[in-house]
Amino acid sequence: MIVGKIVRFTAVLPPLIISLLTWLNTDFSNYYMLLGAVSLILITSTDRLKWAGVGLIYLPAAYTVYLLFSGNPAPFLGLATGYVLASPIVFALASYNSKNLSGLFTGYFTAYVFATLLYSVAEGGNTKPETIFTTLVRNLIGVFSRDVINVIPPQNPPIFLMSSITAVATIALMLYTAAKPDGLPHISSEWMGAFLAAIALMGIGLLTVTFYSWLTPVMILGIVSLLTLAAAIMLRWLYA
Amino acid sequence: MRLTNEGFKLLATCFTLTLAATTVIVYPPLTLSVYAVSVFALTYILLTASRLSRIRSTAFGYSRRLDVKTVRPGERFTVEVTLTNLSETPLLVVLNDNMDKLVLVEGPLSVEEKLQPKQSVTLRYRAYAPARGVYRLGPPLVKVVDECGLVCRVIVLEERANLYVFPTMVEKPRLSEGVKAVQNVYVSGTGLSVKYGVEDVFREVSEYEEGQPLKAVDWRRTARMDGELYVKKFDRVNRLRILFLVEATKGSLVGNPPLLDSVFDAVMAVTKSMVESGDIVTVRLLGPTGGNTVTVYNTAGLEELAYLLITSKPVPAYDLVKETEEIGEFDAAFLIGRLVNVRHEQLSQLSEKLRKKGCVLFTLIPALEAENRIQRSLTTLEDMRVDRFLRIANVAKVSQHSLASYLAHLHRVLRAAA
Repeated sequence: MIVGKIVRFTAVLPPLIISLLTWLNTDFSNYYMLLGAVSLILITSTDRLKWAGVGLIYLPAAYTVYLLFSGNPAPFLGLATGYVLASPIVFALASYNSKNLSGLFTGYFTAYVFATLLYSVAEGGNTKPETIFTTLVRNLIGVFSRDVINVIPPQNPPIFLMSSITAVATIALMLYTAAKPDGLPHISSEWMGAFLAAIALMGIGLLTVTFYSWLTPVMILGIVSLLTLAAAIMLRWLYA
Repeated sequence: MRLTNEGFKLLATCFTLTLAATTVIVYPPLTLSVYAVSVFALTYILLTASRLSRIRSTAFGYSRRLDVKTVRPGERFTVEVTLTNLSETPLLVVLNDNMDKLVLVEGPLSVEEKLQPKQSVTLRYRAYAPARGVYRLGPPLVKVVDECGLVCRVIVLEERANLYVFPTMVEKPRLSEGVKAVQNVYVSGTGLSVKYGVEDVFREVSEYEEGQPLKAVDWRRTARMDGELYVKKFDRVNRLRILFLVEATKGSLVGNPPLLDSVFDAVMAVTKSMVESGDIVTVRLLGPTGGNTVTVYNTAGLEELAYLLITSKPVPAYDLVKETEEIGEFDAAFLIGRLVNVRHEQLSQLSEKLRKKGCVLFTLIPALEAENRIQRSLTTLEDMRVDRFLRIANVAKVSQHSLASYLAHLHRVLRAAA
C-alpha cells in the first residue's frame, strides 16, 4: 500500500515542484490569493473537508464579486489568481488519487503543463496576483484574437533540475503499471523488456538530437509518426 | 487477443499526449517523459500480447456439474463450473459463464482469480427454467488477463451445452391404475421366427440342407465332424415398429401442468422403454410443420426425440386426413390427443387404413384431472364430446396421470402377442 503511494507521489512530483517554484516567485500581498488556493485544494480533500471548501469558495466568491461591482477589483483578482495558482496542485492531487493508468498519466501531463504555464507567467515578471491573472486572461484571449500568440512565454523552469525530477517521475509512472494494491510492484519479464526498450530508445533519441541538432525537427516528426502508426496498428489489431 | 478497456484508454491517452507534447506544448523534459511512457506502454502491450497468444485452451481443465439429473420447469438447480490451471505458470483469469433464457436466482456468473499451477476456481450459481424447452448453458469464457490489466486473451473452452427441461408429471404413474383401465386388445402375432444369420439368439446346430445360405455354415463344427456340413440356426426376436401420432394443438395447453406436457412426458418415457426392448419407435407431431417426425432406433436417438418434443410449438388446428396421408409400415400406432379438430368418420377411416396395412391403431384421449368446480363442469362437457369417439374400437379416455402406465401396459400386451 505504502509503496503504491510513494510511487504515485513520485510520479506527480514535477508539477508540485514547479508550482512551488512559482509560489516562491509570487508576491503574497493579496491574502485573497491564499484563501482561493486553500479553498480549491480543500475541495479535492476528504468529504468532511469538502463541505468546508464549498463554504470557503462560495462565500468569498460572492463577497469579492460584490467588492468588484463596488469598485474594488483587487480581492476578486486575488481570489481568481489563488484558484489558478492552485490548479496544478489540484490536478496533481486528482492524478495521485486516480485509480487507473490513463487517469494518472493524463493528470500528470495536465498538471505539468499548467505548472509550466504559470511558472512562465510568474517568471516573466508578473509576480503580483492581479498581473498574473490579467496576463493569463490576455494570453487566453490572444489565442483566439491572434493578438498575443505566445501561450507559454519563453521562460521555462530550470531544465537541469526538472530533467532529473521528470526522469524519476517517468520511471515512477512506468512502475505504477506493475504496482499491486498490497505489496511490492510485480516486475514481469514483459515489464522489464518494455522498460529497457523505452529507456534505450529515449537514450538513443536524446544522443542523436544532442549530437546532430539539425535533425531535431525530423527526429521529432519521425518519432511522432512512428508512435502514431504503432498506436493505430495496435488499436486496430488488438481492439477489433 | 485484445485490449481491455483500461489498455485501450491508456493507448489512446498515450497517442493524444504524444501528439500534444510534440506540437502544442514543447518542454523538453515533459516531451521526453511522454515519449518514454508511450514507448513503454506500446512495447509492454506488444510483449504481453505475444506471451498471451501462446496460451492454448489445453492450459485449462474444465468441468460443469448440475446437482439434479432431470431439470423440471420452475425447479431450482445449482450449476458448478470448475476451472483448473494446468499450465506451469500462474495465470490471472476471469471465468464467465452464460445461460440462455434461464433465470438466475443466486450467485454470480463471473469469477476472477489468480490461479497458481494446478489450482482450481469454482463458479457456483443457482438458476431455474421458467418453462419446458431446450436451454443453453455456456459456452464458458476464460479471459486471461495480464498483471497490469491492459491486454487479455479470451478462450472459449467448449461449445454450448444443451439443457433439456422436461415437462413436470402430475404424479408417478401407478401400474395398477393403468392395468385396470385398459380394455381388451385384439391383436395377434406370429411369435418367434426362425432366421439364418449371425445375430440374435442362438438356437441349435443342425445338418446342412439344400438351399440354406452358405454363410450359415458352422465351419468349425464341420471341420471336427466326418465331412458333413453343419449350420447354425438363430432365433431373431421380432422388433415391433411403433408409431406415435401426437396432437400438438393449443387446445391441449389446458391444466397445470398442461395436458400436452403430460402427453409428451408419457410418450418420452414409454418410447425409452420400447426402444430398450428392441422396438423401433416413430413419433410424429400432428400440427407443427417441417421436421415433425423422429424415428428412434436405439437409446442414442432419444435425445433427438426429446428435442423435438420440448421445442414443439402447438398450432391452433390441423387436418388429420392430410397429416396421415403418407404413413409407412407399422405394427402398432398410438394416436394421442383431445381430437378437437377430428371428426368421428375421419378417425374410423384412419383406423381402417392402418388396419389394411397390418397395423393396429390405439387412440388415447387424455383427460384433465379436475381440481375444482369449474374444472369439473368443463370435464363433464369434455366427456360428452368424447363419448362419440369411444364407440370406435381401441379408443380410450385416459386420465392425465395414468397415460404413461396405460401406454406401458399396451406395449406389454403387444410384446406378448407379437
